[in-house]
Amino acid sequence: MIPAHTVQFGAKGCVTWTVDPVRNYRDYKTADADLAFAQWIHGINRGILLPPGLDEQWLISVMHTEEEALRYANVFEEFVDELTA
Amino acid sequence: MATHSTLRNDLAERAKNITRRELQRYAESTKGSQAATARARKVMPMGVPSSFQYYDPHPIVVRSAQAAWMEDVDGNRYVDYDMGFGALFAGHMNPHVRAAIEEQLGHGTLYVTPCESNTEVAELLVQRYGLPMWRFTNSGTEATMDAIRVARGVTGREKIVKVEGGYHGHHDEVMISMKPALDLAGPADAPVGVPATAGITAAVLGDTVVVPYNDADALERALAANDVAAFIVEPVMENIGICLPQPGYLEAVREITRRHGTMLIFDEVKTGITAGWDGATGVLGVQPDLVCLAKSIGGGLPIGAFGGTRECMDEITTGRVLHLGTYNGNPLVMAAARAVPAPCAREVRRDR
Repeated sequence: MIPAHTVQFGAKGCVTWTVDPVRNYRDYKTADADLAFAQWIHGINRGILLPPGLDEQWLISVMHTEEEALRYANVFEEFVDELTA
Repeated sequence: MATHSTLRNDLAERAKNITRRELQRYAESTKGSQAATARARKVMPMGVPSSFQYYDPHPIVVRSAQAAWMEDVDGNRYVDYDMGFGALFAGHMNPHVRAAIEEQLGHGTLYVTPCESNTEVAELLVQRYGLPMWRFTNSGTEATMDAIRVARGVTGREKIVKVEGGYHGHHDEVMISMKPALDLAGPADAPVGVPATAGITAAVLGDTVVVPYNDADALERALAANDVAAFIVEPVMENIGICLPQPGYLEAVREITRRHGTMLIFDEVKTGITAGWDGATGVLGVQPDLVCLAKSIGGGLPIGAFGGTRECMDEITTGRVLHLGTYNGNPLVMAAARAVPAPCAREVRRDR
């Protein structure tokens, strides 16, 4: 199992690299920063611009088309496939 | 059968291999950004205008942005999911916002005397947040700084409480325990305040008490002496990914702060309209005494705002608390702020 889950609130969301939901800062400190960086550098090389690291979120603006919104999901799937191959 | 730790080790090894390969690819495809950063380093610390904009191995240096896309100096194109740390819910150069800015450019950018759009934007915030009075600033940092000052004015108290791991801008009193090292941070249920930067005085450190998020009992203890002016908190923490409030937490926070005479400040700089038409305040149904906004209300231009109860904002009306700023409510930013809601409303209004 990959130690990760997604969280969404409104137009924002994030991948959190922990198995369990984060309830506070101490939970956040258990997240896997190496997996987060690997995913970020994999994504930016495929045209997915996200804030690096564990802190920030994705934002789907009112100008993202459905294809643009889903592009991140598709590249993320590629990353996970390689990670778990 | 593989053990849990074996699986984790396998993942770590594969992640390391991916990172090694992708760093090489990044170095080759962003040579222009690398050169631009090297040049910038000679005249700006870290080669960036804000330390948040630096990241390893080097940031991409951007030359243009439009809608959901950015292009860097090497010609690489990216779908932007960062969107100005969430400031660009309307998108890069939303046509409504762009038209409003271009129209205003024909009428001036700075009056330092009021314009009618100040009132129009404030009236819209009153409708959206249910707080009767607003003032404008130039950033979220200023909004939280001013809201805290108002809370101190109305309560006559000096201490504030913030959450461990919470970010509320870069003024001294909230640059404490932003991302503290755990060996300095004390016990989880009673964290020690840790300065996030050099330059924080002992007096400021002593006036800021730190509590864990999602722990109403810890807040109760922090407010017990009835000497705290304000509890400032993001209703949904967005400095550590996204950390949701546990059921009942914000309601307990509201009850505890009210009982102890402490002003409750919701920092909605990052949630705001990205959470919904009436922000996290409306979505979660807990009404604070003061709300701080910025980022997404400006459509990509620098803006902040804070609104409060009449009791709080009368501190400014009477002159007991001073709130100042040459660029506050300047007509260019107001034009953008007035234009943002229309293209966003269809996406976020629950009553549509």
